[in-house]
Amino acid sequence: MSLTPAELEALIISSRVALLSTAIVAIPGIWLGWLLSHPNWRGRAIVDAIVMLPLVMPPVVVGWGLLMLLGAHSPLGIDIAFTGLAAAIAGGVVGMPLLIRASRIGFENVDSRLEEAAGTLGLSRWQTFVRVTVPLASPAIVQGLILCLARSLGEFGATITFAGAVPGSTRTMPLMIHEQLQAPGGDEIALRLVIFSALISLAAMATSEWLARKVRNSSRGHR
Amino acid sequence: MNASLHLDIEITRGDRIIVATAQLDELSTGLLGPSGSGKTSLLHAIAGLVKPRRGRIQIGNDVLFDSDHGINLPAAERRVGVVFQDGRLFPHWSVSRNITAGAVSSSHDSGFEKEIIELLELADLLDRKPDTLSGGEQQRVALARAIIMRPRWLLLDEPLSAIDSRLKNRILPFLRKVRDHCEIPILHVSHDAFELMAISDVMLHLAGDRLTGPTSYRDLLLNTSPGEIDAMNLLPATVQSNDGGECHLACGELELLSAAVDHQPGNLVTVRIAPSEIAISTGELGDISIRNRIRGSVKQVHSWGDSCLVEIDSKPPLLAQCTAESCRTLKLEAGCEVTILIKASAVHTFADR
Repeated sequence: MSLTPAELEALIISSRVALLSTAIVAIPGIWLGWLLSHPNWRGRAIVDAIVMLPLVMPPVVVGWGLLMLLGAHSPLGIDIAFTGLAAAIAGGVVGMPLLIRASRIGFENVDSRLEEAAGTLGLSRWQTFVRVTVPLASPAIVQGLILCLARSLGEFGATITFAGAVPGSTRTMPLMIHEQLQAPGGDEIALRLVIFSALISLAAMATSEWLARKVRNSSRGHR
Repeated sequence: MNASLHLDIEITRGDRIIVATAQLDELSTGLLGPSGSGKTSLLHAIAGLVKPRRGRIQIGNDVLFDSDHGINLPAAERRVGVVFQDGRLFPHWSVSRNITAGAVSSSHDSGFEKEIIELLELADLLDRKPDTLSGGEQQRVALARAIIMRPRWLLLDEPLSAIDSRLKNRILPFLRKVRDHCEIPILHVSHDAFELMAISDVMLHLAGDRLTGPTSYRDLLLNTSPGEIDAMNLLPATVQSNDGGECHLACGELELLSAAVDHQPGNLVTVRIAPSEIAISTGELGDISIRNRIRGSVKQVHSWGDSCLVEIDSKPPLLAQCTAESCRTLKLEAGCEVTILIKASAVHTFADR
């Protein structure tokens, strides 16, 4: 059972899009998680609700929103609809709430007394954040990145709405499976693709679990 | 000392306001107070972790906090080292990275670093992670970490409270070494006066939301009521001999006898005798089993709650406690010649030197 060139292409696009989307939302996602981990600032509840929206809204609606914002009629004058970047952004936006949630919990669990101690040692707030806070929150942040990657890998609704299914640029595995299911006699190909994407997902999860464990061990001392 | 610490602050703690005014000029000062009195809050205010409601904190001529002029230096710019009660070592770093955590941000002095590692006997621990260390080891690392950044003041917040009482005596010598070797002024907080006296000659007292002192332990004791702080005679001593169930101690001009302990001749120890365990006699002594008999004269009689503390001008001086009634019966007053009696079993020795 080998892959046809078209199938291989979809597989490569899927991986590229998922990695790119995670890379795009990594910094803003971690930053929002950090921001939301601080209690008592005005507007926190509103920001919290807004960043969680892509998780609870139908992905098609997210895709439509992105199309309105960054499509042909963009109020910002940026039209990237139906490009590879659009597919990555669609996946990233849908996956970001998971990253925000996980890193927020990670930051909340960092012992603020350690940050105080860093202050008394002469470390500035930025040095404390980079050397103490982030490393201690990193196991949760890595988990968040993995969840974001996984969510982006399987994204369908937002992608098809905002990025379409352009062969060679935005036609990812889920889109190709959908396409084959629509075509007469495509059931067999669809099944092959399903099996392949299941294998890829399993391999990705196993790798990231291994990575997460490594990070966790190095941040909690060796046992 | 050009880095004396000047405090004149009010700190809010729950619905209480703690008033703290003091000038610290000694190389080492204790801060005594019961649990919950606000000692840690006071220390955190000096370190910049708690903002006082008003007042002024100054080291030498350098103002750390001044509510009138809107000055409030962040902790990172105060150069005040803190050893916390709970260690607070960074769990993701090795011991060696932990102790240089503060030094990397200022000018790094590897000679001084080596010196401290040697002084606190940390060489074998450098590659370990904090969670593999014992409580005592962790506090030694925390101490090194605070010293290596060369703070202008070192604040110790009950650094021994989380440590097994058996091991406390093993840490005290390290604190003494730091005091003598590094010339960094120390403010040491504890609810245990004897722990403070191990490294400080003077102490502050925080009770009833008010800070008093610094004064000597004797003056503090005489100015508080019984039960507020523990009364004790603490005397540095050298073990002379230790056999046949008896231990002979040289203690200034006094020779004391204590029950046998596992010390070797030549060991330096601290002797503790409770004033309530010391008896006073003004007349002839008949046959009596008590072995420690010291001749001396009464320097002063202080009334202390319902009882009296009698100060004997022996060398070193001793405090004996007796009831007001005994004082009257024996007609104790300054100048009286007396013999004081201490049972060997009331002479406790601690190998913390």
